[in-house]
Amino acid sequence: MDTRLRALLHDLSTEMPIDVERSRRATVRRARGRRVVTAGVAVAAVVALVVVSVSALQLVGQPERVPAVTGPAPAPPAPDVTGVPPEVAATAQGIYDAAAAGDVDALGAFLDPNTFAHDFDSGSDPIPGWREDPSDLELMVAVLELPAAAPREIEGYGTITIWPYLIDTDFDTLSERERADLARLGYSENDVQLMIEGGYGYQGPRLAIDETGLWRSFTTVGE
Amino acid sequence: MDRERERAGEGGIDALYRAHAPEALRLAYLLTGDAALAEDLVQDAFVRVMGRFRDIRHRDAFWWYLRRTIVNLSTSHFRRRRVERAWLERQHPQEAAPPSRDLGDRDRLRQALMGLRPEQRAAIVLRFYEDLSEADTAEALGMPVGTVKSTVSRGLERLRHELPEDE
Repeated sequence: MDTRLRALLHDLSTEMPIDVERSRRATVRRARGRRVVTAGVAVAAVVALVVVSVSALQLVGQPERVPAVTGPAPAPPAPDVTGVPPEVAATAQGIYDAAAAGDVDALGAFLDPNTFAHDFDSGSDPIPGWREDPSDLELMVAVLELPAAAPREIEGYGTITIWPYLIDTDFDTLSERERADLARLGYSENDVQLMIEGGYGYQGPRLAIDETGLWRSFTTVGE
Repeated sequence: MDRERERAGEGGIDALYRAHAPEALRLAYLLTGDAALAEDLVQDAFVRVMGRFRDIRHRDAFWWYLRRTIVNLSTSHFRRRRVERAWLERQHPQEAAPPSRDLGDRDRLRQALMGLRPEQRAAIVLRFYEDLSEADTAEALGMPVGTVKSTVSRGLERLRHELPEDE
């Protein structure tokens, strides 16, 4: 059946009329437009950062204000390892500390480049890429500051703990907390709406550690 | 600079589309059974992936991302709009009708595929058309390997019923 099915599927696929030139122009025009929009969002983010920085500098010269004490001091930033096995929690803490410090080389201690999967590319060493562009490290910190999903059995990998818990979230019934956590990861209301309409749930960055404490994957792209 | 990165330069989007569109269109056709819908899905998928392409570190994995997006869009399309049900109702006005022996293999496969649930169809197509391993199929569909195995198994069982071996 398998061989016959393969042959039949390939035969059926030939029914699809292939006229690449007919659809190319419209598709490429839309793709270029999308890239411009994406770049625009990045520029807007940079502009916002500059505005915030300038505002902060302006505040430096102003008289010091004593903030009102309304409760206990906020906890220092840390990974959320609630309910996570000790070996996994230790690795999460190590990754968090290294990523927060921007120490790319230290991240290498937690993964095996022969098995690590980065953006679905299994067996790749992500360290050279992160050294070249360390922007993923900020995402790691943000992801680890959220709770993890419940550990799960994945065949061939054992028991895996995956951050953030949003991978198990039902996007048809998003809570305020879940929306706030998506915002912490940089998703706009529009992005969230697209995830809801797309029907395939959380598509953001995720980080997986197996039961032995080995860091197994970091994925930034979900589509 | 690798090949896909070169292709993806502003002048290279054309080349990227030309390189991947035929394979993408055939895959989308198997997933949807509808040429016009397949074109729309591929166009949407390509635009989405290109929009994020600067963020994709492993440029050689472009096809991987494009395929995954096509499968996601196809699955969500059928799930959300219940097109499948409408299609089945048009194709099978009398639900209990047995598979016609007068149809050719190609027609029977098309009908049988469209009779599967979207996730089953996607799993079958990825395993037996794209020749992905169970692990890669699981990653493409975002489901555990065990679920892929059972999904494929149930899909095959149904296809065997709909596609009897030639006597």
